[in-house]
Amino acid sequence: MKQVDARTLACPQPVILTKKALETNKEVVTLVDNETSVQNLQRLGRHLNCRVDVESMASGEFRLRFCRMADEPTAEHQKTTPSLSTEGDSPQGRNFLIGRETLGHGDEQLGRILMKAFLYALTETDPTPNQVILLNSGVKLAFDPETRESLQLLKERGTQIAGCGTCLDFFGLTDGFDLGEVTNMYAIVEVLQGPDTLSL
Amino acid sequence: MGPGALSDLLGEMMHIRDPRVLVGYDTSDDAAVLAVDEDRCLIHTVDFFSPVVDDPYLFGQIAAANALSDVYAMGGEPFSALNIAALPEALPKQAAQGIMAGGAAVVTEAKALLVGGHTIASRELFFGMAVTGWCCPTDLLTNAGAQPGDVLLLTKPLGTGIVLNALRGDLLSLGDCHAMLDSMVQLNGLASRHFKTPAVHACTDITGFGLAGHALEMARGSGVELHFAFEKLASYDGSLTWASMGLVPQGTYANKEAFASAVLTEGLELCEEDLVFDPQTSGGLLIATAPDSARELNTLLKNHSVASRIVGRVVAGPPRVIVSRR
Repeated sequence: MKQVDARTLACPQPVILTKKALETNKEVVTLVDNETSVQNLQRLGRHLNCRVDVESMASGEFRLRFCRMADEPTAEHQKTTPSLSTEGDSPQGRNFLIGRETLGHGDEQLGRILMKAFLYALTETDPTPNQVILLNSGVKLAFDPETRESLQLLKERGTQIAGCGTCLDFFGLTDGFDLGEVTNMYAIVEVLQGPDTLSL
Repeated sequence: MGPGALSDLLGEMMHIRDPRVLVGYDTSDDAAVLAVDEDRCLIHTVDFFSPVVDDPYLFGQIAAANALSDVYAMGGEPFSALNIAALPEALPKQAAQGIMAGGAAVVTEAKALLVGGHTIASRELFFGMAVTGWCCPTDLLTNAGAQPGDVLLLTKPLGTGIVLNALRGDLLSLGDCHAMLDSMVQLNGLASRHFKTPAVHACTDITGFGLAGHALEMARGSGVELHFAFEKLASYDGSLTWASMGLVPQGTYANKEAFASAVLTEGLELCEEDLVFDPQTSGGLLIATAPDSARELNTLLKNHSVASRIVGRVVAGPPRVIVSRR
């Protein structure tokens, strides 16, 4: 187990050091000396799908124990770190990176039809996808009425929809993107490096 | 300084009564406004902080745009500015010159006069400005004039606190967030020159207390309830992701503690709530305007490169702020 002593360090260093340690260790213990760091580290834990146990020590300092969860969050995880999503304790779905407005190679018109059908089918799968990231011409799917409807439905079912900011800018669509967050390459890389991501 | 600590400290000083003081402590407004004569009032404001970016010139620009903003938020024009600097002895001369040059460039852009300043040696670096502006008493815009039925406009996205924190943690480079940095350097005068009383009823700039805190000050000053639709609010690239990773500045927690009892967030995820309470550096203007002119003003501002959006409305009700999803 790796220990990070982040006492006396100002925000955001405790988060940065813990994040780095969790990249190579399954279990990390971080020491901090203020409430802000505790709350930020709990956010980090949720974000990285870790179980986090917080122990306040008599000295006024805090000891946070991070344990990376293998795949699905367990009941205990749910209890100690309430999920951001309103879905409660449903198992975590996959992440989809959609880099085009068509599906498959070959005929473009067919590709559009297939993409519509694919997104529609996705709304009926269980578990609901965790995240759908739209990249390059894939961002246009948020504006085509038919594919938009499926994405909207996914969103209502708890899937996070995100659009690449550079791509939205490129197509002049930034203002109208209202299905979710405008994301950047760092966040995309993070998702791609995580488990359970499919690129289309 | 946090909002709670500040009002504790000011205590009795907050209740000065003098007919020459048009805007003082009591409504927690952006700047002090003093009546000179029938045609003019003076606007005084001061703001300084430690470096928000590791680029001297850019830091100087942001600090100046931030200090000048309070004058614009009151409906005024800046007239003169004085530098306030605390410089560590170890700071390279070039860096200090860069900060001053960046600040001076923005004052010039604002058509104001930089006429002096005060500098001390200090272990920690600070830079900012004291700005004097003026306006006609009839043009004075406070945070206390919002009326039920008004539409709310916000002229810059939110999230500078979170993104600057990610920048501090080396999770991104200055180049990655140039859109945000450009926006922080942008003068709020670019927006304020296009509106005026009586169509616009109230205005404030969004800075350290976040949208939540400054909107609440407007709600309290005006005796109204402010409603925001979260989905209408713009945020800088990545801010929600960084927030959910725990890159939430200390100021956000302080703002939540101070304002959460009167700022209700309905159905928002934690990272979205963080954005509402995120302290802004050189944030945009929050404008309460008559409904018949709101759309027109929003379009006018957008046509002048201001990232204005209609984000909410004012209703009769207890002085509080409600942020719901739509």
